[in-house]
Amino acid sequence: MTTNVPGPKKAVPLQQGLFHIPASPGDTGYLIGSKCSNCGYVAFPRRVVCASCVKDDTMKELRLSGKARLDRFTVAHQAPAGMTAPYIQAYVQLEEGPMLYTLVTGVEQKAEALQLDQPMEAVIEKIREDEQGNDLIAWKFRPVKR
Amino acid sequence: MRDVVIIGVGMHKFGRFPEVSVKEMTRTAVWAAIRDAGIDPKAIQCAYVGNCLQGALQGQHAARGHIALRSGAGLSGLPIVNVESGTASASLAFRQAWIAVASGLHDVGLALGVEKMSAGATAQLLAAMGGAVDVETGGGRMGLTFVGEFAALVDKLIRSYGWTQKQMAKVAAKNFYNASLNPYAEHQKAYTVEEVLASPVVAYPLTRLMSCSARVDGAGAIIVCAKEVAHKYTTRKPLVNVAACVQRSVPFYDFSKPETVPITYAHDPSSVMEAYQIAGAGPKDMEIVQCHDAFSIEEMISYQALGFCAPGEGGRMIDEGRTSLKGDVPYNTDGGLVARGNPIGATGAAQICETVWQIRGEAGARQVPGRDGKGPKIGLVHNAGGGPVEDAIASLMGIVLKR
Ligand SMILES: [Zn+2]
Repeated sequence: MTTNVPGPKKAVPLQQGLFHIPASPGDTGYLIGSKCSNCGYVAFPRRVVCASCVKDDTMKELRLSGKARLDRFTVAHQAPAGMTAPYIQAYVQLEEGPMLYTLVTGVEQKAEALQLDQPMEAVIEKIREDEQGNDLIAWKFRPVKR
Repeated sequence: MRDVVIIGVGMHKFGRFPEVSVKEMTRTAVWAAIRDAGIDPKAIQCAYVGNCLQGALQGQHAARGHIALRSGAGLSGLPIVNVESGTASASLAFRQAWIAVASGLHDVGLALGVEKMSAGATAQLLAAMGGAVDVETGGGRMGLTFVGEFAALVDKLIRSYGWTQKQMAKVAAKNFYNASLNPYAEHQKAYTVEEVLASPVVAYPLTRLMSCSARVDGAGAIIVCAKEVAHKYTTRKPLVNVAACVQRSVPFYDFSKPETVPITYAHDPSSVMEAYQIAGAGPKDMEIVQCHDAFSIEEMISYQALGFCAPGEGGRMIDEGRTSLKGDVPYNTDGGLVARGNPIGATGAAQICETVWQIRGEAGARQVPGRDGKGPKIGLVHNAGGGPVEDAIASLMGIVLKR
């Protein structure tokens, strides 16, 4: 007899190589970027060729601090598949330079919950369930507690 | 390089036409352009076909242009090139036809943009649209939407410049009015500022009526010819000169040096700046503009990005009516992406067709007088394609057309 019992939930990263997923309770996740050994330009995600000085193979892996500044955001009132409205779509600028899109956690999903330019920090965790029912893991940012 | 002129344009109406195929829309647009030029279709020596989604939505992954032109429009034997560049696919197809003719290789070239977004399931369409950004690292699977992308930028600009949601609604209402005068437009109804503001918020501060529809079909075709031999092929219409035709790809911005990144970076104007230089004309000379406004705020950003006002003055531009049909720099006279419609791979063709009709004085109820009362002498098209790739929009077109 066969039954159609789903297997145990898996944790699936958004994409390999973008971040370190905490492996144990004491471990912390972090974003993995790269820094140019020629000009110092920092890119996230990890790159091989530097887009600033345009040199091949100068980008070396860099563990990013996860410290960032909230550049801009909106509250989406319509959600694509897998998301629940309302939810915040935001851009943060990392301390090291790169600007990236992120979901925001640790606050109510409303405009009053955030202020432009406020300090934010990265967390690596489940962002939603994927199409196969697994936990999709990626980055989120939350306001730094003062 | 030879001077190139546009000798014929034609469109299939934008809107939702589930029963009309890509081939049929191709036939309508291409043969409208052939009749407009009064040219023997066998004189067309090369063709470039812009399309973005027919692979994802209908499984026509290869040879789309060859199939549409042969089986839809009856054109065979000529070299045909398929062109994909997101929402800039058709204007890039136009550029390729312009290059082929300007280079001296061919005398007559055809550019087509055709898109059928009503085909396929909604999930298919969303996945296909998500494919306009880097699918490995783009935010699509993390809930980033195009409207959210722009809403966040709008919110920042509102805070920086003191712009208001109502000013954006005025842009949308202006463009719905223009579209109501355009028989090819998706929307044929003029919405008021109040109606735009009262429509549901998609991502604050953008409402439904400040955003382009997700599912639009349509096609547009343009026939270009070398100016020096144009008389051999057609005498039917006033010739419209291609004064500049520029493509740029996503620029590099270093966000760690914020002083080097313009606040309008998502709407990079470099293709237009280069087009101004080549055409020997600037924003003061432009008598009509078709800009890339998938969301109404993009038009307000465009006013400053393309040099029509000082930074932050976009709100005043719309308040003073300067960009309406009666203004000194009419913008999106055909309704723009929000109101005329945005069938991705056909959008740039509509922008070019509209500019040609306006310059020829054939734009009917939405005709602008231009500075000499005979229609605009010179007009600008700014078309952008592909979602944000690392820093900004993937592909950017700047085209100047003149009498
Ligand atoms: Zn470098």
